[in-house]
Amino acid sequence: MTNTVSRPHPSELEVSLFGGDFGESVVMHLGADCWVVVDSCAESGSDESTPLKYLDSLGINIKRQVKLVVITHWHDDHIRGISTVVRECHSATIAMSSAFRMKDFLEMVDSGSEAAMVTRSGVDEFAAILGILEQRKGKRRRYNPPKMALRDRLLYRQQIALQSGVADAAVWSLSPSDSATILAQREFAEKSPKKGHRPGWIPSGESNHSSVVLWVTIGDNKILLGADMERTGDESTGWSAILGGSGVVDGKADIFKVPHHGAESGDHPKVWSELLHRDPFAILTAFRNGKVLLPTQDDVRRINSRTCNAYITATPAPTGIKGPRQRVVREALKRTTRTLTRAQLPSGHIRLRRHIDGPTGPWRRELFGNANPLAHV
Amino acid sequence: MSVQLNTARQSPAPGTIEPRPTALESESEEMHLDICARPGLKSKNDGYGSTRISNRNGTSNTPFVKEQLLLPDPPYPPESREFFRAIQKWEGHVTEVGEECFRAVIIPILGEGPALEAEIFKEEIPPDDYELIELGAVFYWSIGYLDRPSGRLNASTIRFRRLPAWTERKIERASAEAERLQALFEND
Repeated sequence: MTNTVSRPHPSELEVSLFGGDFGESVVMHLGADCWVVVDSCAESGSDESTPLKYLDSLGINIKRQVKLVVITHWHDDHIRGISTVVRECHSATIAMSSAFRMKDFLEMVDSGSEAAMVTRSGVDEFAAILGILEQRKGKRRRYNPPKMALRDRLLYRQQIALQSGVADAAVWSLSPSDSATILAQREFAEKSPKKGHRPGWIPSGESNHSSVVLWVTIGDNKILLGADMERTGDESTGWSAILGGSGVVDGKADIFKVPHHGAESGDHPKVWSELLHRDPFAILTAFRNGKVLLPTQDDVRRINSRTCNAYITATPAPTGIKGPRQRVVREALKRTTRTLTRAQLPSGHIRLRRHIDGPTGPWRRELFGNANPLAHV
Repeated sequence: MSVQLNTARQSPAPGTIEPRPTALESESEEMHLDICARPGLKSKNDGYGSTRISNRNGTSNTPFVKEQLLLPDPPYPPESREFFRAIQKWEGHVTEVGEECFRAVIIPILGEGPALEAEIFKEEIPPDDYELIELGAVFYWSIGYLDRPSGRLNASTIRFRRLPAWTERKIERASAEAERLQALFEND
């Protein structure tokens, strides 16, 4: 365990993954105080965005130095606190799936927010983001609309000044494909309001194939962030669409954010053979929702067989709770429920850093909180 | 109004000394619930059966709340001298519906503890609310004491939020709003 609040050197790359067993966010330092935030999560019972809290603890000027915010998809476990990220990162380009500008999605957001009073869902976060964008559009002379992520689209590019020269940093979206966007639109149409239905919390759907996979390059360093992308069995969607001839992927990545919490449905063997170096750093978050626990033991074995450098932010396991102190509450809980567990584990943090000025050194790996090597799970 | 009541009476037996409040009870007394059921008292949100929760220094105990709290009706008729004192309240949403139970995530809005995931027996739900148990439905769960002239009872009540169903007009309005919002994704 080392100091989580040590700021990276301007010539040091950083990839940080945060998450418990519900929630995920990536923070990247591309060099020269140029930061990227991908998705957001929060600790249980808190609305405070974990990535913002981390950047703040490092003393980063969030308003100026966060250059890009990417929202990979709208599911609750990727989006908690993202409206605060958008609001605070004034100078950042906001990038999101092209599916989000569709009328059906906006109708779902407009009708689905405020269904609950305390619980914040993905649609609540989006409703808040739209409110922030409206304010900005009204105030600013030059309004920059969100960048729509598509297959092979450049979201951000910056020349990073180093002592030894300049490194080109670029963030590309590799998805969603056109077909995936159409499928997502169908799903949003199903969730948009229907006559006679009651408003309620809108459950996340199956639209992982429309999530935004990122290809990040900084000089010779390459990073693949898999979002929740899945293998669909259709050449025009999912990993097959990305593997089927991306025009921007050149070379192989050292770091892989494993998609969809290590689930088998997110695994495509060719991703490992074609897009990644041997034994890459494979980093992932866990997921627990009802009976679903990811990664499963099979998933853990599979990922560990593909790399000896796999790490997870928290161990996925149902956790009992310490009984409430009040007898009346304890008794009512016992009588009313069959099972009772903590909804969310405290999160962990995986941090990878590497100097890029001069001869390239090894990646330095640090684990904080509940993070562990996947081999220990 | 349906309240799940514990059969154990809390009032002291005749001839015994009333016990001192426990630490928990003392703690709970720091919460003053202004409920419209008390004669002469108006709730902050009159007409909605709302509950205002404040502590002794007047600051709110509620976490971030997206709108005025609309909590379930208090578990007693407004004219009675019964008084429900909540110890713990959660807002929940249904994530899965089974035969005997439904699964839900519950987030505390009064009282201690983290968000929990619970499998709740359907039989604990008032018959009026039974049809509302569906994926995504939002409910409020209060646990506390029901103080009556005859003694104190433990009480637990789960009520589902009844938002008006979508109408043609509302859908048209949402559709028009969505069209307007699409402009946010375009340059001027």
